[in-house]
Amino acid sequence: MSAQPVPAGSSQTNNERKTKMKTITVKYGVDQISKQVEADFTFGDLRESDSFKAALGFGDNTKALVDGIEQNRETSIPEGATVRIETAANTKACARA
Amino acid sequence: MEKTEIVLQNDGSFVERLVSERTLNVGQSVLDTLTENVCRPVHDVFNLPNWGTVHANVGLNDTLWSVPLDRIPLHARFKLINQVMVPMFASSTDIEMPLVWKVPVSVKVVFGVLTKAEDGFVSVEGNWLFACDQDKRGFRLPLPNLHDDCRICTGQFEGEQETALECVKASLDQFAVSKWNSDLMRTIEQSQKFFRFLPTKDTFEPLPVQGEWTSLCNKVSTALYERVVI
Repeated sequence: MSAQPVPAGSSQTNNERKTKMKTITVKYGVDQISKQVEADFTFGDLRESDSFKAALGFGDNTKALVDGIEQNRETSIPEGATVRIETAANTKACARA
Repeated sequence: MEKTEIVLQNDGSFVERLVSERTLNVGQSVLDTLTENVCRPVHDVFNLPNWGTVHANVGLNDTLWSVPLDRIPLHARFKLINQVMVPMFASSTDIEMPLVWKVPVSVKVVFGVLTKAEDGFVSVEGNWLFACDQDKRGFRLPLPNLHDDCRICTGQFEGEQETALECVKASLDQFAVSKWNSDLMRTIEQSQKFFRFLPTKDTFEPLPVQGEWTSLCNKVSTALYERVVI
C-alpha cells in the first residue's frame, strides 16, 4: 500500500496529519525507484505493493533485504532506507527424467 | 613506532596526541573473513566442445560457472497448431520430439552451474537457466521445470566429480538429454508464443518469438544472478 506525498504548506485534515511520510529506495535487479510512502510502511507492504510491483516488475514470491540481511514482513522500513527486493526460491517439487 | 603530534584546535588551544603504530601480522584467516562475500568474475576459463566458452565467478566457498547458450534442447511433447509446432508440456498423448530452439540475438541465455570443492571431489550445488536482456536484467523463461529463482530441475545425475570442469560438463550433458515435463509449469500460452517451430520438408525451423520476449517472461533478481558472468 502506498500513499501520495502531501505538498508542503498545504492544509491537512486530522487524518492526513496522522499520515506522515518517508522516502525509501527500492532496487530490483538493475532497476530502482525512490518513493514516498506512509511512515508505518513495512517490508511486507512493500512486497505486496502493486505500484512497486508495476514499477520494478517483481512478482509475489520475493524477499526484502537491507544491506544483504533479509527483513521481516512486519518490520517498518526505516526512513531513507535502500531496500533490495530479490526473487525468492520456491519449494515446489520437480521431478524430471 | 610512536610519534607525538601537537594539534592546534579551532579554539586556539593546543592538544598533544600520542600515536602508536605497529605492523600487524594479518593471517590468511583474517583476510578470508574480510573477503568472505567478495566474488571475482573470470572470463574465458575454459572451452567446452559443443557448448563454447565458460566463465566463472569465484567466491571463497563456491564458484558459479556461466555458460552462454546459443540453443536450448527441448525434448518435449509438441503439437501442430495453425501450422506451427508448439510445446505441450502437460500432454501425454502428443508427439514427443527432441527439438532444438535457437536463442535469438536479442536474448542472452546463460546456464549456471554452482560448484563447491569438497574433500577430494567437487560437487554440483545446483543448475540455473537465466535469460538476460541487453541491460543485464534477468528473466525467467516461460518453461516448466524452472523454479521462480530460475533454478532448473534437470533430473538425477552424478553431481560429484573430480574437477569443476567435469561438474559443468555433467550438468550440461544432463540438460541436453533430460525431457521437459509439466512440473512448475505456468501458462502454456506463453511457452507457445516463445518456443515455435515451422515444419519444413526436412526439419523444424525455429520461428521468432511472438511479441516482445520480455513480456512473456518473469523478471528475476537474485544474489546468485548477480554473479552471472556474461
